Amino acid sequence: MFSGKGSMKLGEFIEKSEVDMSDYRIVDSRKNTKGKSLQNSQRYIERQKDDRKKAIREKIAQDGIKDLGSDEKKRLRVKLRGTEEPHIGHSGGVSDRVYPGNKKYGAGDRLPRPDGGGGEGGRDASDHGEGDDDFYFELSTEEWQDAVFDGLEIPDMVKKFLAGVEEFELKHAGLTNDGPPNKMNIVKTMARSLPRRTAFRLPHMKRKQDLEDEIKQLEKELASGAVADPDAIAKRIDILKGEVKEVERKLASIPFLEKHDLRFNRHEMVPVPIAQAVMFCMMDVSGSMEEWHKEMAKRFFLLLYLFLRRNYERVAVVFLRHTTEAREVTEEEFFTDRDTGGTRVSSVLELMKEIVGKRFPLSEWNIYGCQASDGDDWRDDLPVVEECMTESILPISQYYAYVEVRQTTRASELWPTMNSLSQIHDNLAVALVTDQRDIYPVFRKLFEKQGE
Amino acid sequence: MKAKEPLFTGSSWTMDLLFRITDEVKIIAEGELGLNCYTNEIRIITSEQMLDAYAMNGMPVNYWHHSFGREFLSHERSYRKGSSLAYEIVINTDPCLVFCMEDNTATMQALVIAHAGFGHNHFFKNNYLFKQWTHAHAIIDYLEFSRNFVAECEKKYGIVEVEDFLTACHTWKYYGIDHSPRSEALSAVEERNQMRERAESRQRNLNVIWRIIPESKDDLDDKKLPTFPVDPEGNLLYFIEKNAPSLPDWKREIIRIVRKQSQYFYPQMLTKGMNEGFACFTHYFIMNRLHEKGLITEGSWMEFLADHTGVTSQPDFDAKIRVLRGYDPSGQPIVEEIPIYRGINPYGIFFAIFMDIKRMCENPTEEDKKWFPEIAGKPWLPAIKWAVENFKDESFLRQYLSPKVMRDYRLFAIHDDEEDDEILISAVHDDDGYRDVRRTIANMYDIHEHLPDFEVVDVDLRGDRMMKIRHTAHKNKSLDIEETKKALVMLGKLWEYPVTLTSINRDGEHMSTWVLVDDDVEHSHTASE
Repeated sequence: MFSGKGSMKLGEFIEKSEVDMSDYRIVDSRKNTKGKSLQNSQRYIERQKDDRKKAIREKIAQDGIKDLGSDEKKRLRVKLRGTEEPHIGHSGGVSDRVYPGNKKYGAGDRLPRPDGGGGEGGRDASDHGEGDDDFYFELSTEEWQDAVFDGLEIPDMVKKFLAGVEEFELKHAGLTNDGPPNKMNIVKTMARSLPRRTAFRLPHMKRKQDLEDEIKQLEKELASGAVADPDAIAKRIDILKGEVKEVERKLASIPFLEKHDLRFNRHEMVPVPIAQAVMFCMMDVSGSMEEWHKEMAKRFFLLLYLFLRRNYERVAVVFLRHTTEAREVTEEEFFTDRDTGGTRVSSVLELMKEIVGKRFPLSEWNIYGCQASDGDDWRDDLPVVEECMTESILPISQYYAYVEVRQTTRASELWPTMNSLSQIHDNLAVALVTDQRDIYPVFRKLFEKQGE
Repeated sequence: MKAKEPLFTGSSWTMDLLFRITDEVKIIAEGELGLNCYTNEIRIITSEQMLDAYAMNGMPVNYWHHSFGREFLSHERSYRKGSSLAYEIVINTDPCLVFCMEDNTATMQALVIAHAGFGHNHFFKNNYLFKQWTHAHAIIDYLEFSRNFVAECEKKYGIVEVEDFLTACHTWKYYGIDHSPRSEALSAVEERNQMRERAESRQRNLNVIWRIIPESKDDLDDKKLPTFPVDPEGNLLYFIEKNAPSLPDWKREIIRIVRKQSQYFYPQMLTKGMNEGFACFTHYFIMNRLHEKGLITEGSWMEFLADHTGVTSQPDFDAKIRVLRGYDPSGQPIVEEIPIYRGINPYGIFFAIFMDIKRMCENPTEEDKKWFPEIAGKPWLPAIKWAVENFKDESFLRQYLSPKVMRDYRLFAIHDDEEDDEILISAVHDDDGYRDVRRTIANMYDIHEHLPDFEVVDVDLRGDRMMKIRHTAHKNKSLDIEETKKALVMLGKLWEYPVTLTSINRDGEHMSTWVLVDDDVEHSHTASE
């Protein structure tokens, strides 16, 4: 293809001296910092995180949350927007282009427009199209829940974790140079003493050996009698023996242990966090609670459960349902069975108190209460509820959420009581759910990180 | 011919060998070709560092922005999938920074040092556009200044605020380019001082847009105010930086930073083909000479030829590769044909033209004498250098694309009108067509072919400070409606007041109008269909 190939005219040979060889540098930059783009990449990922969360929130608002708890639905796709720069460009019009590789065309030929490929316009479009497809994300259940729960924290949980811990544990925390004798680590101490002593002794031992060898030699010569000046030799032996004594004194002065050698075990008091929580799900199943109410309540319990499960090693769940009497039931019964009768809310509060007293010592468990109701209650019961909450439930609970599920805006019996209590007690939150879409925002509101 | 020991026999290299290779390359480049280069600073880097360099616009220093992160991640992903990285990246700085990948074989290192360290380097230092528009000694200082300035702004105003503003600037970066020469570039320190002075002077002098105080109501209706600006301004970013009514100073400075980077890359946009073509010409000459001098082995020479051919090859417009996708039930192979044409390869045709110039100088034909009397039979080296110094892609093709190269490439021109069902072959590589083909291909390298033509024509000084922008359609090409809407929203973030964009065709007829008010864009067609 290239006409010039092979016709290269040779230049004259040039010697090194004719060209300045000193004015360039070659640097091995491989050890220099790589990852210059790290900061940029992180920023991009950070931006995507926001997009992702926004998309998830929209999805929750639309679809409801029933998929959230099921383990089957592992992945979901979120298309990300907002990080692309708009592309300013032409579309259509007239274009004149040149292509290589003509085989048979002559000027004036007309041919049908090929679909897509090859054309300049087609290329532009696909370049741009790819950009859109590039950043789809699949979310694992884990990531999905992270996004759902991000920014939420049960109020005062931190307090209980840090200040409220009642148990400490001694944990080994390395070695130190100082400490009481009973904490001395003998092995590590000897491991330092021995080489020190060996090192200090070595030159003296060698000197002693040399001196003794010489004495032996001189004594041998003296004994054989074949020496010119026995007195001088005897004198020399005396001097040498004196030196041996000196060396022995030095050897003896090397201490078995020096302060320098000592090593002590160090221990620290480490608080043992209370890593378990019990969640009381309480629901009014009296006649006034219809399927719809229960459905709403269930979703709310589910969210709370998932949230607790992520924050505690172990989460126990107790299901309590009540009409005029409260009883503990299985999860299945809780959501499916239906009772009829009146409503006495205080019954379930008393049962909760009783169960905590029996099975969940406060030193080991964090107590969470979550009550769903349509707000119906006997008027006579209201003062009892108030007393029960103030006296026994709220003092032992980390957090207590009262969720009122109703479709009307008419105030219920229970609402004023609970609402006024929540003004006084930080660990009580009340919320009203009137629509499926309210659940998540209400949940967020209840557990929104406080302060910060 | 003096037989020499080859510099190397295997593919591995040491730093010491690189010095010996560079010495020999330099002897040929400067001694025989007489190239005039910036001092080279050759840096050996890893593939990760190469990815870093890709993502930052190829700049060694740059401000942080998430779009660079997006670039990086997408390059990284395609690299992991197996696509290869460039052998080198060269930056128009003084000293000239040449980044060579550590994965390159010894032969490849010789090739890239010749290609980038001497080919591109000479081009940067001698081409008229680079001389006019870029200041190789000042760019690194300026980039450092801008990185620090942007970082400082992020501390003061928040990362998201600053990044979003930069995104808006990036959208319009090609409209931040000056088309007439400007004064000497400044060092970082001078930049800082000037920035302070600019801020002070803005404090002292009221913005012209605020200064229009109507004298009386009657006057206002009668008197026709001159347009502002008086002449249409194509450098939108410049216009906004200087005239946006209420933009804070730091935003003006950021616009300026983006503008300056665009300006810096402007010559590279206009000369990409020539720059590569000349770098290929240089490496081809130098590798040939190393081979003739016995400094590289036959094996190394074959390796070079394979690489060189790969880089400069030009697939035909209809070329396809056949890929075996499996077998159908009857045992017949299923073959997929994948088109491989990706447009005109600048490494190929521009290299071919440089080689052709040399051929016409050394062995002119009758045709060459007729077409190129000014170079046919003349010394080739001055002819090549003259071309390097005085042309950009568009004018270079217009000047030097010879009938011989058009025949070799079998070039043909088409006329594609979207209103027509068929495409017209307007010219082919024959006596009647040479000039048309040449004109058409040269026009393809005209910047207006790719960048719609926008100008600020007026600002409503009496009313809501609406900025009026005119788009003059090139060959009746219309704008992409949705993308233009988004782009206008970005422009609104810069101007901070309403913006209208009016599209007119070459006959001056209105085609469509976009109106941006408070982040909402209304679009309407005004042309009769």
